[in-house]
Amino acid sequence: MSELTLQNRCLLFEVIRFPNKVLGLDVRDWEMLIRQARRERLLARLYYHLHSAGCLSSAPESARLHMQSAWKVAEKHELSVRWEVDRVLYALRDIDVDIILLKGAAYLMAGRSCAPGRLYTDVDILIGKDRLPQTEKALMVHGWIQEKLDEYDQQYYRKWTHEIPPLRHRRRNTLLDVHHSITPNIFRYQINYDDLMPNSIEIAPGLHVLSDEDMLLHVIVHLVNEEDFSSGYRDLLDIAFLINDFTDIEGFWDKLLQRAQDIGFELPLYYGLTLVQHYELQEIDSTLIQCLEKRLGLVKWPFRKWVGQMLVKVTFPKDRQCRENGLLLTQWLLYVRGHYLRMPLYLLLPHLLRKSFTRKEY
Amino acid sequence: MRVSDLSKPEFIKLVSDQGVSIKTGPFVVNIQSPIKTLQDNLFRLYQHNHVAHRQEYVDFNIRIAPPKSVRAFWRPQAYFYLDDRVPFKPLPYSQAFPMLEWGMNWCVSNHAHQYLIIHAAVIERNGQAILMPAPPGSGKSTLCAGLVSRGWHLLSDELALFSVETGKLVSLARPVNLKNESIDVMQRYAPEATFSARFPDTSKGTVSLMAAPAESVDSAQIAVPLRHVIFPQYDKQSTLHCNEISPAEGFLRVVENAFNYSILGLQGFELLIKAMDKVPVLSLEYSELDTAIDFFNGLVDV
Repeated sequence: MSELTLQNRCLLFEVIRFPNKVLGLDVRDWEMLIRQARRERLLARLYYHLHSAGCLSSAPESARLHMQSAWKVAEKHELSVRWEVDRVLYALRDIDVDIILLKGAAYLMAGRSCAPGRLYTDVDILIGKDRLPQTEKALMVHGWIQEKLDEYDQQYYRKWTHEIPPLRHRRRNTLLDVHHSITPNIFRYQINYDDLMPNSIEIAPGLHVLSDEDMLLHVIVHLVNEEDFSSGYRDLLDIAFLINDFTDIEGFWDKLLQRAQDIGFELPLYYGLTLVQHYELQEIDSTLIQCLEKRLGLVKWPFRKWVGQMLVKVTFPKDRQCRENGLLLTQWLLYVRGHYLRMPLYLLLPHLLRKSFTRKEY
Repeated sequence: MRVSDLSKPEFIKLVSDQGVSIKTGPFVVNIQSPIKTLQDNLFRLYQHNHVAHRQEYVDFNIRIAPPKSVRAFWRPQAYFYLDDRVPFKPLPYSQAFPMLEWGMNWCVSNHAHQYLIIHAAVIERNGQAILMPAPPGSGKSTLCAGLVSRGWHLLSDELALFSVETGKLVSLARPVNLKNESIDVMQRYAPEATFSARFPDTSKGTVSLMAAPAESVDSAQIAVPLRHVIFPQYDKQSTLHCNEISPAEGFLRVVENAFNYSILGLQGFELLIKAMDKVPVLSLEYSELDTAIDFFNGLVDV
């Protein structure tokens, strides 16, 4: 094994940052790199980075074929998301509702640099809560139907989350998530459609994406308040690449800070930026972080520091070669925290208890 | 070096420890397992396959092992691991070997998009390949095994690989999957062939695998052009007869059996149009292996 793997804990992590580190890898290193990337669903993304950096020729033929295969799958995903968005707009054309695309589909349609090579599980859209019944109806007419849920899950979605249960298209079998807010219902700060629409960017008639600041804040909130960190590293890369897209825009950081303050997202923003800083994925102005620290009074809260450390752990690739000890426990603690952030405790305990008994059997 | 160049104890030690890297067609698969029946059958059925050189890239790292739970002892199970992932549900411990075969099919059809992959048997003679896509129960595997025991080369019993680059068919050189009655039929028809143990009560009934002959494994490196597409149907009552299928219908019926047609998109369409150009498509009803094989021989002038 070459020296590189002995020095650094995770090959994938290093190569995404510095693609030319693949020069000089031996065949076992390549196997490991492909395995790590596949584990994080980033194999097509890896191909994109190596291709862009002109580093593909050093890959063994077989490794290159694995990456190219993954790239073909990603291309298919991209095509199918574009088609899905087109079909949603078509279904909603008569009810005069503007939608905001969220997450992956938005990065793709807005041409953000985190989109190439991405795999998509669903399309997320945000609409006004008052338009929900109409929208659901129009979507249903065009073939999106609700997945079968038991009464409990149905109630859980409607009452405690910021979305309706996922819709599945009965012919294409694709998933559509309809949100009416980007924060759970019990959040102190309710950020919904009406707060986000005025600043949004219209990329096609009736089709919007969040403003730069909101887009970054959303992905950060999504990551740090998450329950499931299986794609933690991918999400962290999203944050880093969005920062890369926005950082040179005049006044971006000031607007970001102001916005975070206005909508109560300063703590998540702090977590998100420190993560990026910790892993040196992008340069972050340290006065910015100090400013957030001061405003949040972080020193008084060892718990917050601890949460920050846990987030560091779960946003690193999880291959056996790079995972830290105690990862499962950390993931579980954050799972509980993620739930705690969206449900009051007296509801959370019975909910988790119920979920732990009804977990899907393998 | 071939698997048969290793002594059995050497082979078993290898499979139990770091795993044995076997070449099957264009892929290198590393198989690691502590399960005795799997080791035995693997050693026999892959005896002609080459062991990969240490410096070769391993496409799929597979481990089949009992879980670290009560199910290692009580109604024991075997898990299929690709790297550290468990892509599908465990099977009973006794079915570890067929699980390996099905798992390898899954690995190829989900990761090797440098090929258009069709669920079909492919055999070859005189440099001419015949594609046999067919649903389970059509007697495709039986016919395929019969042909292979009478001088045809086996490319694959389950997965036809059309190279996206050349449009030609590439061999996998892996065993033929025989089910239920066809196991007895084939053991009588080709007594000299190598068969695995029988695995009863699988989701496909009783299963036994027939090894690919040495010549098939040896010629696996050569890609061959498609010459005929045949949809076989076994029917006890019938006498041999075939019908021509129109090119358009034939094309669509092949596409129906493709695993990754939608992933390859236009590339897959263009490849298949070109590969099937001027290739006759037939449906074939047969009841006797001998007459069916004569018919196949006639197609390639033997």
